Amino acid sequence: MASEVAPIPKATGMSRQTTEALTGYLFVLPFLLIAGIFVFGAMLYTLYVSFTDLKLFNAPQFIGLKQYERVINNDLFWTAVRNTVTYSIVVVFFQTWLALILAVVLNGKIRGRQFFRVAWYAPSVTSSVVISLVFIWIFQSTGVLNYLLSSLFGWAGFQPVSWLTDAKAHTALPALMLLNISTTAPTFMLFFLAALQDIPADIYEAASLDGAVGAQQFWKITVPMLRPIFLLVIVLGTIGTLQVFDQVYIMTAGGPLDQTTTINYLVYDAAFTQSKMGYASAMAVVLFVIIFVLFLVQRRLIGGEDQNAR
Amino acid sequence: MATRANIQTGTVAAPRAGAESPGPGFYVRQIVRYVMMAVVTLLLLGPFILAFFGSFKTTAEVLAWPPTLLPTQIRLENYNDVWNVLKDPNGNSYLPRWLFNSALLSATVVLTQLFFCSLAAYAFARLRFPGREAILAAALATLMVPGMVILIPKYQILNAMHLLNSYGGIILPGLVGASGIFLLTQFFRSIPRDLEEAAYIDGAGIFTTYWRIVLPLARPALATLAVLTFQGVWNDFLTPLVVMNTADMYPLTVGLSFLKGQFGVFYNLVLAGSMFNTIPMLILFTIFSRFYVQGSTYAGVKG
Repeated sequence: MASEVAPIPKATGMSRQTTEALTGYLFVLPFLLIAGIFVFGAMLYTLYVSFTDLKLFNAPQFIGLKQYERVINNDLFWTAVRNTVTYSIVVVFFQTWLALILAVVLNGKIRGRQFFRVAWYAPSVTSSVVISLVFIWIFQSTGVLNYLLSSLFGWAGFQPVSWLTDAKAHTALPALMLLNISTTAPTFMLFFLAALQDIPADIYEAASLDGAVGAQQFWKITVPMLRPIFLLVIVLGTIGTLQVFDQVYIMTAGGPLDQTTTINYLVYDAAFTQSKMGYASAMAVVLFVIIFVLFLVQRRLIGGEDQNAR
Repeated sequence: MATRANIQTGTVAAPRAGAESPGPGFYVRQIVRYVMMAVVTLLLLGPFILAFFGSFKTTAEVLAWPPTLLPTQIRLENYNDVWNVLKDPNGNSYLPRWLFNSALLSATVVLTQLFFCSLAAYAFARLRFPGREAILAAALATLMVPGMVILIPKYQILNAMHLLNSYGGIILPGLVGASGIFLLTQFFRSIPRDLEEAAYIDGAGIFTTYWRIVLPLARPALATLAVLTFQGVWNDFLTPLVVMNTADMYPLTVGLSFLKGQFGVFYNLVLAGSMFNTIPMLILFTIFSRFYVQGSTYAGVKG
């Protein structure tokens, strides 16, 4: 229909600007509708529901801050907050550095960079479900991880551990972290690699003339030059890890003894297995606030004067 | 390939002094580097290679201690077994149905995203209208919203629209997305305007210009969006877990989780089932890796 409008500037009624503006709105309309309903409308609805007693499909009654009170007085919620935040900090820290190190390695004078770039990235296209299923198997007490560790450290008295189910050993959350770090780092490596290739070579030349060597160059040039990418990788990493769900649902179901219960898992459980939509919404709102505040803090800390992520 | 990589390296970091006269230190560093790369490759790919081998083992062997690397006999039957292990009341196997659901949902969402994202992106990149920048900023903001925060209302809205447990429940919310719009807006802005102006002078309307001139030029960016979207839907778990509630409507991801719940003791079958999700994705990735690698850094956000 848009093609009928404005065949040529020779104005039949509408001016070119009007046509252009109307067409512009028409083109973005599908996005506005979908985002308006399923994102912005949905967020407002979540906020509204968090003040009601909505269970599943009943008519919601306004009950003020009751759900938030329940959330705050629930020990399990605080356990989940602690698990989620610990998870996020540890995973983001290690995956960011690992991604950078991998990128620096690949950026050196090596053969077959293309091969390694593709090979390392391959796990990132695998679904979290399959990754979880594979790692349940790797982490089980007769799994490959225990076999490797017993072969390497058997002399030091290493005994196989049921990584995902042994409550006393407190290994389930670290196991999930390890999994997340190793599968996400390669994605972020690509971000760093692209940015590394944009650093002009003469900066390094000037630095080596001034006597700066390897490690110094890394800390004085590479890291500061990559600051915007650091911000991007840390922000995306934080948003992603604070929402960890699939692995928890499939691998541990929050156990053992709630050691891997995360906020997202609690929200899902409350909303879709216990049909407490109001309560779940209140937790979801808290999660959103946590994510947003952390985003602002990170932007302030890392962003510096350059407020642009890219 | 190696030569191209070397040419690229020439423009990159590495201090020149080392390149002119490679002393013994240079070779030591190179060896360390290759050993490190080999170890990383093994650690990253090892679990998946083991899982692939595991999918051909017997149930006893896949859980044996000490674990074996290669299957003693290659049990291709595992794939046949997992294909047929779960059946609906009419005796139709679920796994092929799940594969079909995943393929159908992914393909449909790819097509709608390509069309609606490029349409919006063209408007953001080329057309002037009041509020354009504000709408673009709002679109950026949607990327920050955690999926779980909007899942509860999504469920309620889809229920009101009678779209729960239907393909529409996945397709409609996935029709168009902000990350695709960004990727394409950036790309459209990098295309010179000359061709469009020429088309316009020849009397082409805005839609024709977009459809006939701009889209063909944007093929690499569209390919990137297509592979990333396909991956996003193919691998998505949480949304279909909530939207679909009968086994015949599950995509493969939810189906596999269900399979593990039912037949978790037969881990060889679970691993074989996993391959139906992984191998198509890996094939696609190998063919289109070029688009993935540029796209994932471009779009920033998955799905």
